[in-house]
Amino acid sequence: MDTIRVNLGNRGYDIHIGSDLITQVGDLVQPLSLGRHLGLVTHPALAEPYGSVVADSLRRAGHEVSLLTVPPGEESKSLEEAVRLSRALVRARLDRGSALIGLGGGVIGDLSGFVAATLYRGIPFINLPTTLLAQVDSSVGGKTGVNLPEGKNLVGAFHQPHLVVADVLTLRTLPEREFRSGLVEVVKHGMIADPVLFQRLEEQADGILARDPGALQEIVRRSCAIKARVVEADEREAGLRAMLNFGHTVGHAVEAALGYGAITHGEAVAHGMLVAAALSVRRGLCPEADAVRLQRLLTRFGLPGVPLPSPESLETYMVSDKKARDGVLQFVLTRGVGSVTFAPVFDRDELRLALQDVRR
Amino acid sequence: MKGNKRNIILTGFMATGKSSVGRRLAVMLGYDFLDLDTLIAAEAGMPISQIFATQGEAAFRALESRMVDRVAGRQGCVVATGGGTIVNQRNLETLKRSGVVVTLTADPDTLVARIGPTDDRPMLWGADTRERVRLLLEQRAQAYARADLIVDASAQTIDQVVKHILDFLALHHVVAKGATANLPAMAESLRLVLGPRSYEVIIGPSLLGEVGTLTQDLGLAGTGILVTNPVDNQRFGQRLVRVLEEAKFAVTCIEIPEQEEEKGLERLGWLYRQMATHRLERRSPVFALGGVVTGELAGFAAATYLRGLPLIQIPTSLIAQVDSSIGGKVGVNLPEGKNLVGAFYQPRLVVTDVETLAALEEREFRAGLAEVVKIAAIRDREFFAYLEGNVEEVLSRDLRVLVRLVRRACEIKASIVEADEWETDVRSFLNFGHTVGHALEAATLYRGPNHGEAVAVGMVVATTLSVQRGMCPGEDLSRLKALLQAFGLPTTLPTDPAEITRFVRYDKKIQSGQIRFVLLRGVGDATVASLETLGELETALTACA
Repeated sequence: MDTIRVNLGNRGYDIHIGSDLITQVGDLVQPLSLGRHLGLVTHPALAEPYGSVVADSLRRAGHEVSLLTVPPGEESKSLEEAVRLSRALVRARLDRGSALIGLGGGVIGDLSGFVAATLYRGIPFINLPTTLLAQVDSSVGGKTGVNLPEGKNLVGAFHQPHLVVADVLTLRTLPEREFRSGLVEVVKHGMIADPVLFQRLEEQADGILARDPGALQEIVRRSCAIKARVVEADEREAGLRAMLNFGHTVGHAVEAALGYGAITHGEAVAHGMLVAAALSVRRGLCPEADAVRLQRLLTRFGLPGVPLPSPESLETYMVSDKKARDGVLQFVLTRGVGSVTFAPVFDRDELRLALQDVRR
Repeated sequence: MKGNKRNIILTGFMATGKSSVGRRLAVMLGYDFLDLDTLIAAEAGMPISQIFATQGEAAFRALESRMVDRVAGRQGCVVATGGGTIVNQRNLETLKRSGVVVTLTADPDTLVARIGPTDDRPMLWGADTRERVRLLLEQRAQAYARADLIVDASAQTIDQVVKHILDFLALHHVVAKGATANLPAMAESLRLVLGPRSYEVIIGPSLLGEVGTLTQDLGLAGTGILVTNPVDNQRFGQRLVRVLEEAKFAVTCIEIPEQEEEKGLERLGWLYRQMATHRLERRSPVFALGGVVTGELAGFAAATYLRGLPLIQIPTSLIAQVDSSIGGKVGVNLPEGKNLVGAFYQPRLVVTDVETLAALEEREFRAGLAEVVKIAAIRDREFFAYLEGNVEEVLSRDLRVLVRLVRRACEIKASIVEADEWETDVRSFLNFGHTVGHALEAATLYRGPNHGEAVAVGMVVATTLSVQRGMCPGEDLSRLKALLQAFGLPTTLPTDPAEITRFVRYDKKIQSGQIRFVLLRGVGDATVASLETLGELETALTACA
């Protein structure tokens, strides 16, 4: 088991990464001196075997566990579902000393994290991410929230977890496309901050695709470490944290243009990274060889997997992006594998050329 | 030197603005403000309408004359009399001997329009209001005409009337020329030191006009939202929107009813949608103008929309000014209980205009006083004594006294919050009186005593328990009861003690089965202890029944 400490003063916490950790959750939460009664939130499909395994481990450690389930899918990340969970937890008699545990992917983490942030004005939250995307991205950083009909993640809170336990064995049951989409964020972390991680991905692509636990543990660990360092430097997302948006300006536009569901978030970000790299090469910021490495690695992982829509169809969506200030697109560009920089893009032609580079 | 200052007595028909003008005048001159009707009601222990209904007008007039004698015995006061006070020749003579008498007049149409419902105006009961007003004006015309100065307030703002009176007083050397103060400059500010979440609480008269520039000073600009209730919107909303627009904010005004039942998730969802519709961004300020419900609901929406928007609290009720606007507690109710969903979210600024309290309903004002007494009782013996020594000014809502009272209460609350932002230890002192208070509210299905009244009774029970344990002198219990009674607050249990015990056991503050109680070692000195037995509580409850 590897442990990464996220240093945020008295809100600091550990991320444990390893194999077969969910059977030991009861022991792992022991140092936190949580209340006796715990809530556990997961999807029905994860309740067996993972939910039961976690609950048993906690019960062996002397806890009482109330298990609640939430239907799968982004639709569950709603205010209504948060209210339903809060009410159920009150009725189950969780008190202010109780903690809430989320077991699942990003939807479970964001939703149950938000419930933990607001129930009794905040109770401890423990995240047990079971998807690659959640393990390397959404479980670190304390962002929680739900969607409104008017938009995604409009309601939420910053609420740091008390503990994150990433068990890479849970990744073995993940559907292939979801797993590969999660790899995009790992590639992103390598691109923005860790050339060694990027190299490992290149060297161990076979082992990773075969979901070898040792290979997974290393890439998850390195990925979490980067996210943790960025979050430490910029907990409330005032500036530096924006580097994590590498590939997201175009990525969001691709998602919106194709319609949510037609392409995964990861696949869209893969396109976005390729466009950002092409832009960086055009500006002379990034050696062409590094852009080629990025493109080859993504291809090796079967990404993006869906063709890039036309530049015309993307442009309307990019201007309405919330990161656009006064109509000027804010881009995270690359200086080569392991390094990024921020730059505004004024010139629409420049962007169009970069999009064409990628479509070719 | 207060000793040389002659009183200034404001008289005139009801609804001519005697109290509003009087409060301003007093604060500008540095005088005390006394409201004769309020003092009469406090002395009788019941509202004036009830004195009329149960004892008749003659009894009321007799009491009124006694209170006239009392205020005439003081100096350096601005006194607002009742509409009929100086009709009695003796009252008029007494008041003229003590100072300058000013009559405020207005034409009958203006008065009828301003008076509105007549439930609290016994002199207008029965007949057609307009006819009754005309008749009374005629009867009183001679008495009103004997004033030293007569000011027609029909077409003038409060500021204009005040200036008119001040000019007259300076001309006749009652006060020194230029003795007037710039009201916003009299504001006091208090800083809550909470690291990166530190902020200012600004307390004073006439501050609504300053909200725009104060918010600008925080570096905020652009689109924002003003959340308020219908009553405050009518009183202050338009003016505030104008003030914000002058400071280049584009604000939309959203109304929510100031009712506890509205502090729920449906209203919250609705508010979120309003925020989305008006395209609020991460730096868009949320202005919460109103009482506790407005502040907590708008505050929670601000805390959670886009993971936190800048929040400006503008509390208008006493309880909101001294309690809920300080400390960052925001939240909403679930059907399962009050305040179960919420956050600790500090505002960027609190603007507390004590003049908004002048318009507050009497019962609500007193409920707020219960929280003030609570804060003094747990932490500051000297402040408690100050309240004991200024009951009349407090009840008359003298603005200088209100500034001092709100400031001290906020200061104490702030020092507790600073010491313990996340409510683990000292902050629980603020729950003094609340364990039994909440139970009493719940046992009467929230239709009995209001929150402040319930807390008043709760404090008496908790202090009785403290005396029972031998940790608190009986004399301090007597002082607490006397002060609460002077403020017109209840000190005895209106329900069966067994009912209260039942609800106490379900209180959310129960940790690992123990019932925690805030007790007093004496006025100004609180401590937290576990209840030894339920019997102990029952004994205290029975003693207060």
